[in-house]
Amino acid sequence: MNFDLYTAGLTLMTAPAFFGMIMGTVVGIVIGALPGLTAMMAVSILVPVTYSLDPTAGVLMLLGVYCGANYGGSISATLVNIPGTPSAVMTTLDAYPLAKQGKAGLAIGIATMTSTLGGLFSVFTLALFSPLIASIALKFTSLELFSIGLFGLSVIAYISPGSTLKGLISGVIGLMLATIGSDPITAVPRFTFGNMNLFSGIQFIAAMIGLFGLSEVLMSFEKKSADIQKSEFYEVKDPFECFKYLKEIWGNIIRSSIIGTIVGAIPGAGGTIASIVSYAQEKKISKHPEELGKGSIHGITAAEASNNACTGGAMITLLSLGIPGDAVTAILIGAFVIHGLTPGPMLFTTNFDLVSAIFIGMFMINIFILLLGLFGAKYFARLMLVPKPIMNTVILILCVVGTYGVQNSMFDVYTMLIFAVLGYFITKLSLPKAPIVLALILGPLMESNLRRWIELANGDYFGMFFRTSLTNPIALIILMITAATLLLPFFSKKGRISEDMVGRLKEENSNL
Amino acid sequence: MKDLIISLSSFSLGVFVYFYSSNFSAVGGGISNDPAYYPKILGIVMILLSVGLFISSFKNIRSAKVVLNKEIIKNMTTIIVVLVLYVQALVVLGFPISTALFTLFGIILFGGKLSTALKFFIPISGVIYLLFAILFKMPMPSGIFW
Repeated sequence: MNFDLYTAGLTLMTAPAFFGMIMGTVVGIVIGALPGLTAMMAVSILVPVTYSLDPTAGVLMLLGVYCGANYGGSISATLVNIPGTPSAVMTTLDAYPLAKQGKAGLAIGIATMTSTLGGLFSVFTLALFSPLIASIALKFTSLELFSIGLFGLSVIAYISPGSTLKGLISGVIGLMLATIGSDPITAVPRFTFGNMNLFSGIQFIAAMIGLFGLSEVLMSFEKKSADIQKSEFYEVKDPFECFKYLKEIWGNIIRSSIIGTIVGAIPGAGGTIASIVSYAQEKKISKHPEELGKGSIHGITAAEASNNACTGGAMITLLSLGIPGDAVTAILIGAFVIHGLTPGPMLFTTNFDLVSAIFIGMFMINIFILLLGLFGAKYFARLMLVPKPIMNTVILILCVVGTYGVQNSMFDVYTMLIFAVLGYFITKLSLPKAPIVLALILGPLMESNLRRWIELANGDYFGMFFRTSLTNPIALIILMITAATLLLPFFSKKGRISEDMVGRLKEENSNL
Repeated sequence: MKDLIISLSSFSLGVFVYFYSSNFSAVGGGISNDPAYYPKILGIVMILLSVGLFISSFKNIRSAKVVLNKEIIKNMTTIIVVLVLYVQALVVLGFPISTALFTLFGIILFGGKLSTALKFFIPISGVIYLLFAILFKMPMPSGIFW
């Protein structure tokens, strides 16, 4: 084991890197705490901002936003029963009832402490396993890389709300959008309709900001929900009380952190699924399952430890394979590319010190979350009082600023507007958007590897596949798991593990 | 209803992609040099998935309807038009002026009071400009007047 990997990054911990981390974490917690704003939106808009920062500061800032937002959702989940981010939806089941009992401070404290510990666990796992996986991934051939991409899409289709079919349709839409531009092998223009601006493909950040930033504002404009009033808040008193319960919940923290890290490492699965699986597991093994849904600290622990542990897990896949672990890390790939970095196993040799800085930075970000959460949650909560007309207008402007900032192109701004309208109609039709994001990133990787493998097979596709599988069965195993993921919903009586499970778990809690 | 719309739209998309891809000429021989190969596969997959969804949509014949009444269409059209005008104004007026005007109208459009809009439109656009143009040194659209 090369211990230099864990210390080389210290040289990159400059003042701008610290500034980036702290600012990113604060922005992330704020974004997470505000219902209607998501980590995807924040990361998309802030990616162009990182242009002016050095790569380390830029990447760490975005990681701060990512981790901070995953935690921040628990603040509004606790105080007003609205998850600030999708991954906080399971937190509402117990945090809000606990706040109603006059223990909002304890709920926030438990959420903060368990988020931090879950995040730290996943960072240690990331630091330990990603170099190992990267060394194995260096030996991957085109077939393995194509298989992993296909697996990622199948997982995100499986867990998407609605049905696996709709998730797959969404994924194929993303793959089709990824073919716009010059063919990666022959450079023949495809689906450009004679427009020079499309020769290099759709600007990924513009598409993301449109799909996840602007379209969400359009949806909230349509819903016209009322502003949150101060009287709807529960007062946050003494969150430090949470430390008294550490001994009682430490087993839950470790179990939920393991679940979150593993789920996060699966391409396509994110914090929401991690918290659902962890909460369901807590229900099964709890000695007092009747307490879940009524203000149980174990429920909050299971949800928050797992959804923050997801961040390290998702980074394992991103750093060691170059494949995003969830939709937010898919956008992070865009940030890496902007700074001339290529996530994947080669990063461990070409940018050894940056990888080390990421390990150190994520460790520190989780400590900042603990401090900012315990001392500042009640102040972050006050941001929920900002009137929606002002909030929505500012978000729209930031969407335009962020999109233009990528390559000073008004065409990108128009692309963003088109994707915003597309995203609006996709949401109206209840088609999931996350598979589109993943497919846009994975599409070029999948196509170039598939065509490369076909070239090598030279017409003998089945023969080559079977011969390769005898000596190196990784691709075969991944494809079998992919097939099982896609076919399982048709044979399983229990139903899919998906975001639709939230309603079922809520109903079970009320029946106990 | 929603599933029916998705299946018909995606079927059309699949057919379009499959046939339009035939326009992409191969460079040299072999599948790997054929730029139409991969889009055609995607087109076929999309057609198959849309047929599957079409069939399953009959099982849920009472599936949720898409809510798109006149008021929603009017509101959405208004906001899209205002956004397009804002984007056009950026290249004419430049970022600071067009953003200040957009902030003013945007707050009112989203349901805020005129007094709120008048109080905040200059500080908000000023802070955004200072933050992104000055602190982060991000390029801002410049127009004839700025």
